[in-house]
Amino acid sequence: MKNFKYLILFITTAILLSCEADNGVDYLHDESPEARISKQIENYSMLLTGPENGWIGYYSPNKSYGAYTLLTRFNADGNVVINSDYNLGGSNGEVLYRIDKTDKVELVFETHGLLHEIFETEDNSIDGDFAFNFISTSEEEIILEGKIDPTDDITRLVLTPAAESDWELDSVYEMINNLNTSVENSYFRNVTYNDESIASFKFNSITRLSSLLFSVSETKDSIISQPISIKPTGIEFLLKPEINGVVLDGEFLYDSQESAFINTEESLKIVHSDVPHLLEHYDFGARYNIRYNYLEPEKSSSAFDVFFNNYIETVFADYGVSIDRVYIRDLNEEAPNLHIYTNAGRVRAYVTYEVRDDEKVYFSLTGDSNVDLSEGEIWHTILNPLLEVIIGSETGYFIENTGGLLRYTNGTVTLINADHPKYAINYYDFN
Amino acid sequence: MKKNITIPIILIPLMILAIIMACRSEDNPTKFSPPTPPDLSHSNDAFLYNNDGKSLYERYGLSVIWRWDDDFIRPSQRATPVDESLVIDIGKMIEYLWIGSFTAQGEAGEKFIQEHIPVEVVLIGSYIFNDDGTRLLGYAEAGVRISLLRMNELNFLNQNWMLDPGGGVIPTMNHEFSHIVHQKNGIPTGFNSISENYLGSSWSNNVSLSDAIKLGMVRNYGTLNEYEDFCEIISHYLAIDEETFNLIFIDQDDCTAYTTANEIVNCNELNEGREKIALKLDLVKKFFSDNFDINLTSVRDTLLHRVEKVINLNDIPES
Repeated sequence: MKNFKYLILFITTAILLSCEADNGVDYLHDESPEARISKQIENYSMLLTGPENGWIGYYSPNKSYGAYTLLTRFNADGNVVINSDYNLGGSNGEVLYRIDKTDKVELVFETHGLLHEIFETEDNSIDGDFAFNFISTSEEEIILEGKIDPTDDITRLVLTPAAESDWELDSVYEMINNLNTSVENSYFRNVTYNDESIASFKFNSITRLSSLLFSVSETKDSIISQPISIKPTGIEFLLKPEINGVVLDGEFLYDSQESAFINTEESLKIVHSDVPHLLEHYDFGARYNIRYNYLEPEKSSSAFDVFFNNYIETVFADYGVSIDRVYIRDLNEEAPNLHIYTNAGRVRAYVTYEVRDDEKVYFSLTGDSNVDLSEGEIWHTILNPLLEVIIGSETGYFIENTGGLLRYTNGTVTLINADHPKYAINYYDFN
Repeated sequence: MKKNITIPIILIPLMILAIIMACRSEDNPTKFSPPTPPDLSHSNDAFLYNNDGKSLYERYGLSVIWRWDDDFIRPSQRATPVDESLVIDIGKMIEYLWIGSFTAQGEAGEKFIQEHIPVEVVLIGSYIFNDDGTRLLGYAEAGVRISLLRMNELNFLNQNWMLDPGGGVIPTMNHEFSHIVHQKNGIPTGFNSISENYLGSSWSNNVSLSDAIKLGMVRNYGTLNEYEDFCEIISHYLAIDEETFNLIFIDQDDCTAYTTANEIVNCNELNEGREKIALKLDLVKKFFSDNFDINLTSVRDTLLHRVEKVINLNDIPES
């Protein structure tokens, strides 16, 4: 029994001694992790709020999107002003930000603003970001990486100190309008080198991507999507694409006289043309039906959108007829027809069409219709202005494959009026 | 032979004390830190937390979280923050339309809210989209937090945004709040045996409103299980005027008016479902009356009257 008491005392003493060890932590650094993180956050905060004119960067939510100019002015009180060429400045404003530590030290834009609006495109599914990890920092450059979307397509945002003039975005907004399809000019734009056409050029105002289509051999065409940055004076290809040995490098300055983007040094231009350099092939007539793409009117040219909207308003004002659907149906049947839905009934006018060697489609009315379309008749007066534009081109219609609908699996096709190439009418197809 | 081991009694407390004292450490990484009071420098926080005793925090201990924190959603989900300029209006709406429709019932209502109000309400600007393409309207977590979604669509003129039982903000609040109620108190005895079965995860497979009614539920989501059924009945009952609610969910249709066999079968099935809904609603009303002294019909009338006032003013009236 006596031995047992000594055993207990021995164990107690051992426990006491083992617990008596110095509880202080030996840090690898001079300060605790908490202190170092706190200092890092303070440093980042000073860095962000440092430049007098804030920071400028080009934000692209994913590889399928081009870049938006992003100007940020961080204030020490937790507010940040964010201006951009997104939405032509309509989403500019102030939000709250914080620098925080979770897995890494991060920059979080914590109330709703411009970056969140971009993030919300297509039901929050475009892999955007509004929380970023700091990757590297200096007074000349801050590199951030998207935190929300940790896929292999991580958003990378490089910020550099902005100049005061960078904040004057009006000329950038104007440049975006210059890039969009024009009410006056042809739908087609070509890239020329020494005044020789080398590629077709297109700009998608939603995705902010340009696309370049050119031949790489007699039998093979190549299309490349390219992010471009839009500047007050012109545009620049961010990734310097190469077209059969010609590199699209440097800024293309906008020339309002020519309505063209010109890089004089490299003898390069992006110009409107009545004829496309190349168009993506679409097998016209392979699907039963096409319908005017009311879902994505921006896929038609601005000139057609303006015409169509004016036409609808005029017809309603003058005749009380509203038009809500325009189809070309039964394309791969014996009796293709134009099918127009109106509040006065559905008009069906039969057509023939032919896709010729020049790869254009030519339409003719057969004269067979459920309404009288003869000259002088009321339906002729109502519908003829529309028919002139959508099937009436004597030199046919260029056919362009314009990919699928954003939210549905249907394909889309644009028919460009060769008599008046400013009119490009986009349809979606279905059986 | 088993031998009893005895230790002088004086040694035991000394040993325990010695061990505790020796092992105590100032560097204990799990040391409890009480929550820090919110930074009130922003006018939103001043309104929500320190408003002359009138704020939701001061009155009910309710924290309204409006600054983005991705801890509130899963990594696979996508959502965006609330617009900071809407936060005070949302706070007023929470108090006037949601909390207020209960507390207007008097002491019992006040007590009911005090006992069941969640600790936190999280405001999220958009829907929460899951990676499978589905989206959430709102959710409650473990009885302590309710997340309110698509707050950036706030529009006091839009009755649908406020009251649509299929996703309006007030029915969503009441739905999630009802989860807290059953998490703390269970559901009425017998409620889960009125309908013969629930559909589980098949609830989303093209289950129409008629299908749901035939099963005895007011919405397809209610066919998931008895808890969603319970919450949907409450949120629908509180959001729909009596005449409309009865017409859709309670009143028996006259099946003799139909002529084809299919129509008659359909009518009878709907009527059977409505009987089940009526039974459940009675149980739910009695459950609230017996347990909390709350008259749900009176809560509904208060809520609908208040929504009407909000629409007329395009604002939350000063109470």
